[in-house]
Formats: sequence, structure tokens, C-alpha cells
Amino acid sequence: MTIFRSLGDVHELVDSFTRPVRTILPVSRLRDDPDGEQNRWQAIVELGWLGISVPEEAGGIGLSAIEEVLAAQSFGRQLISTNYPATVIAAHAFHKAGDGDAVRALLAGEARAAFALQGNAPGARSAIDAEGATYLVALTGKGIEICTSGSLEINDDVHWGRTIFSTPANEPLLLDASPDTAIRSRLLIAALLAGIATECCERGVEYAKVREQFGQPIGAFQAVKHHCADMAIMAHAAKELTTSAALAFTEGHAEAGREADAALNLALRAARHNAGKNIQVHGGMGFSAECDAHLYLKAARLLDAACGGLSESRRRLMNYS
Amino acid sequence: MAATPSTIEDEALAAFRAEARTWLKANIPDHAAPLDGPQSRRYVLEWQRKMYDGGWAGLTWPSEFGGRSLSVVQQIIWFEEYARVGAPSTHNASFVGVNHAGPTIIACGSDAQKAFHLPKILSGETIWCQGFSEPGSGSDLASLRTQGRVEGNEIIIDGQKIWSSYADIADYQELLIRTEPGSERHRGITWVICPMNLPGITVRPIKTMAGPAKFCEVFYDQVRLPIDQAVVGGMNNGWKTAMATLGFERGTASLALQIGLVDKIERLARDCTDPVLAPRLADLRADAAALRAMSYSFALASETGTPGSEGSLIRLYFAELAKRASDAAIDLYAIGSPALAGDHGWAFEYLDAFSETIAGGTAEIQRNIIGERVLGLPRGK
Repeated sequence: MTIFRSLGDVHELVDSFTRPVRTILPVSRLRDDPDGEQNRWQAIVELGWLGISVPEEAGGIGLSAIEEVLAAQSFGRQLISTNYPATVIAAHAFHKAGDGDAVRALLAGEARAAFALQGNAPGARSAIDAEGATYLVALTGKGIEICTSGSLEINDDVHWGRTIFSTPANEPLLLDASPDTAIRSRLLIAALLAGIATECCERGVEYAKVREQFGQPIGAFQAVKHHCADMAIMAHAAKELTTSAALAFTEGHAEAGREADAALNLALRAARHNAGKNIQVHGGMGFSAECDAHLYLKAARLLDAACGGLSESRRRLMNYS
Repeated sequence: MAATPSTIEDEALAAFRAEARTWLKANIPDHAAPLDGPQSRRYVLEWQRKMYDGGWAGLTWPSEFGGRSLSVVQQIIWFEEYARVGAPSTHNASFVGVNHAGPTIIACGSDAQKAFHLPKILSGETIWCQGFSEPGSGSDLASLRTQGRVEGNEIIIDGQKIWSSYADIADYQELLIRTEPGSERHRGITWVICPMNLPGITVRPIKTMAGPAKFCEVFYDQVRLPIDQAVVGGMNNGWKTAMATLGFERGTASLALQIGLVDKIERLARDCTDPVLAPRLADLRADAAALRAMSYSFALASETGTPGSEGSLIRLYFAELAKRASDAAIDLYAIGSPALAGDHGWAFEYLDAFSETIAGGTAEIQRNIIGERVLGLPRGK
């Protein structure tokens, strides 16, 4: 039995296979080359990032949710496409359902999944970056719903840094109601959000060190310094709780579900908070589209929408006795 | 509270947990701890004595000084069980002796000081208080001015300390004084053991906004200490002596309080049936889980090496969470309910929590420290 696993060696392993992420997915790509995401997908496929915790016999790397979560923290920092968590979750659901062909196609890059969001009107749905996606994945109260992608109509390609489509609500191909896949999904999204919170903190702090006003770096002013301290606290909390929740899940702890819900709740708040503060610390530049700060905020809100949001996470958390 | 999510206990740890639980259930005092005064002294010494006799005193102390040298995982298990049965808060009159003065003497004291003081602290014979803050030196401790004049084999102390918890019922004080005339900041300070019954010492308890009078002002008028018995860690080396146990204080000594808070928040969340309050309690529940994840991982790291700078993040997180939790408790139970009344009810917790973001360096100073020492931001001009 494992007791309080030290994660030092795991960090090293994960660093070794996620190292290229900064080169492959520089955040500046989202300003300079917004149409290049399709090409970058091939690199993600080749590096095996889609199947980190999918068993080897199913075509994955065969590591645990801990490695998946630690890797996702680095991917989150680089604002990896929302197709990434959608595809990983779809692969887990198909694997659970015993559909090996679908898993292999997803991991090989022959098929891809995008997130579907619950629409306000009955029968209507929205989807994020669904162009070219084979499947739409919706995280609902019932479980993970997967359907084939249907007709897409652009709903908004201005405001969220990614394209939002309207799409009809197709009949689900697969409903995975297992707690396991739900927990994996929440951990994965929490980890991406924790990564966003961490990156926003670091970017805000770096800017506060170099931007000068009134004859000194703005980070010397306590009002700015305190924003930075708050970002550091939120990022640390989100990172530690997400990691601890992944550990609990991997160890089969009875409270793993609850810990994953807590991690998602905290990561949602940390990402919103830090993305907002990072914009504030960047001042006028932070408000301009030429600065990356807004991209983190938008990415955080999309992940937020994909997992049902803060209210849904709060509702679930209060259901535990 | 359920077992910690990141632990899977092996048989030895499960047996340790069972042993701790059995002993605690059989031995926790049958009445709640008085908050101040001589009755508080009797209560705390009796409880310390009981833990000593049961082999549960000095969990973190090395065994050569009568401690248990428990691993961090064992300490966590002990404090989880401690919180579960509602054992007396560790933030009581024995805290300074067990968690601060004792470890400082272990780290920097002479053999005679160790032999005399350590057994008395562990077995519940003596109470210690801390004499660090002064009226003009709160968050900025290095500006302290209480003077120690060396005369032959003695130091003669004149000055004033404040916010010294339980000084009115303490036997000894760990005291910081300026022994090098004209010295400034961290230089020229000495850490001394000061018996509280010496001529020239006057103690005045200060009633707090939460009710009890545990904080005290202490006045020193020509108080004479023998140098060889009093000085710990060398003359004019007091800042270093005080810092020797800082890592300890900020590492595992806070575990008991952190675990206690997690436990209290769980109880609040379970009692909440109001849909309007539920979202707040849900966030508090997640915050409590984060506090636990952070403090366990920090405590474990401190066992295997030097703990990182994240201790200052956790400390501030704890302080603000304690305030928000008790604020929610007042809304949840409402004034007039039994849950608020009494020495240890939520009304006391709520009012007392205001000290969390002040004591030991205000939240504003903590944020400066995080900004400058953890994040590397520049100091203001």
C-alpha cells in the first residue's frame, strides 16, 4: 500500500514528456496564427498526450490520473485547445464502453472530439471549436454524453478566442454514467484551470517587475503586490488540491469524487480570479487584444462552461453528506 | 472527519490511528477549557500532564528529550483524531512552551537549560509565554527596544512588551531584548529565558473584543537575570535564535489548527439546509480541502528537506479562511442559537478570528512578504 506518495519522481517523468509544450503551443499562436490549431493537433497526437492514462493495450501510455493531471497543468498554461480535454474524456468513455476502435481512432488523430454546451433553448446546443470534430462531448448531470457532430452554424467567433457554434442536439451515441469517467473529467478540467491560474500569476508578476510608473516598478506598490500575492495563493491552492485529488482517485480512496469536485470548484475560482487580476496588473495593455492576458480569461470561461460551471460544482459539493 | 484523501494507511498506521482514537476518547477532559485566568492554567497543565502520562506529549520532540519523534504522517493522524473528538485546542497556554520555547531550547540551549526546562514543559509543570511584540514593534519586530544592560554576570532589563498571551499565568517567558547599546534592526538582540516571578515584572491582562483576557502587557523595571541561566543561543545572537524554530513553527505546529478548521467547516457544511447559504458553504468546503492538501504536502516536504516558501501562502490562506468560515457560521446559525453561545461557540470563534489576520504579522505584511520573498517583487521606495 502506498502512503502519502512523494511525487518528486512523477514530476520528473511528466516534465520529460511535456517539455515540448512551450514550443509546440506558444500562447502567442492564438493571436498570430489562430487557424493553425489543426496542424498542431498532429504534434499532440504524436507525443501521445491524448492517451496518458489510457491503458497500453488500448493504445495509450498507461500511466495514472496523477500523470495526466500534472501534464494537463502544463498544457493549461499554454492554453491547449478545448478539443484536448474533450478528446481525452471521449477516449476514456469509449474505453469504458469497450469500443477499442473508437479509442484508437481518437488517439491516432483520425477522430477528434469537441465540447458541447447545454443550450438555453430545448433541443439547441452550442459547441466549442467543433469544426472537423467527429464527436461532441457534453458533461451533463447524467454523465458523459457523446454524440456525432452534426451541422454547425457559427454563433460567435468574436468574443471567446475560439469559435462557438450552434448545433442541433443529436441523440447520444454513448452515455457514460460511471463515477470514474466523471471524476477523470473533472480532474482534467481542474488541472487545465490550475495551469491557467499559475500562468496568469507568473505573467502578472513578471510584468509588475518590469513595468515602471512613478519612478519604480509597479510591483513595488503594495496595491499591485497584494494582487500578485493573492494570485500566488489561488494558484498554489488549485495546484495542490488538484494533485491531491488525482492521488486520491488513483489510490481508490472512498472520498475521491468529493475531492475532485472540491478541486474543480477551487480551480474554477482560481482561474477566474487570476485571469482577471492579470489583466488588471497589465493595465491599459491588459485591456488590449495585443496582450495575451485576455486569452487566459476567455479560455478559463470556456472550460468553465464545458464542465457545467461554478454553480453546478457548488450544487454537487453540497450533495455530499 | 474521514481519513485524508491522500492517505492509504498501511496496517501500522491504521493501528496507530486506532490507538490514538482509543486513548483520546478515554481521556479528553469532560468539560471545556476555560479561556483565561488561573482556571485556564490548571486545566492546561492537567491536560498536558495527562498526555505526558499517556505517552502523547512532545509528539515532534526528539526522543532524547522525552519526545515521541513521530513522523509527519503520524502527527497528521494524531491531529485528525484530536480534532474528531473535540480535544482542547492546542492554541492554549501550553502552546508557546511545547511548540516554540521548548524547540528553541532544544535547538540552541545549553545542556543545563535543556535538563532543567524541557522535562517541566513536557510533563505539564510549567507554562511559557512569549515576549516579542512591543507597543512600537508589532509587525515590524526588528524595531524592538526593550533594553538589557549587562552588568557583571547579570542582564538588567527595562522596557515593555505587549500581546504576550497568558503572561499572567506563565512561569517563564521567551523574551527578546536589545543587549547591544545603539544597535539597530536584527543586530544586538538577545533571546533570554525570563522567570515571570522576578521582582520588577508587572503583568496587566488586556481584555480582547472576543471576551477573554489572555493577552497581556508586561512591564520590566530593573529586572535582573543571571546571564548563564538566561541567555539562549549566545549574546547578541537573539534574532538567529528566534528564527531557529520559525520553520518549525510554520511547518507542522500549525497542523493541529489547520486540521481543526477543516473539521469545523465540514460540520458547518453538514448543518447547512439554507439554499441561499449553500453556495458559500460549498466554496468553504472546497477551500478546506485545499487547505488540507496544501498543509499536508507542506508538512511532508518539511520532513524530508527544507520546506519551501509556500508556508507563508498557507498561513495567510488559513487566516482568511478562518474568518470567512466563522462569518458564514453566524449567518447559518443566527444570533440567539445555542451554536453561537458559550465559551467555545461560534460567536467567540467569529470575534476571535479577527486576530487571525493581525497576530504574528498582519495580512497586509504577509502579502508584502509573499510578494517580495516568494515572488521576488521589489520593495517600495
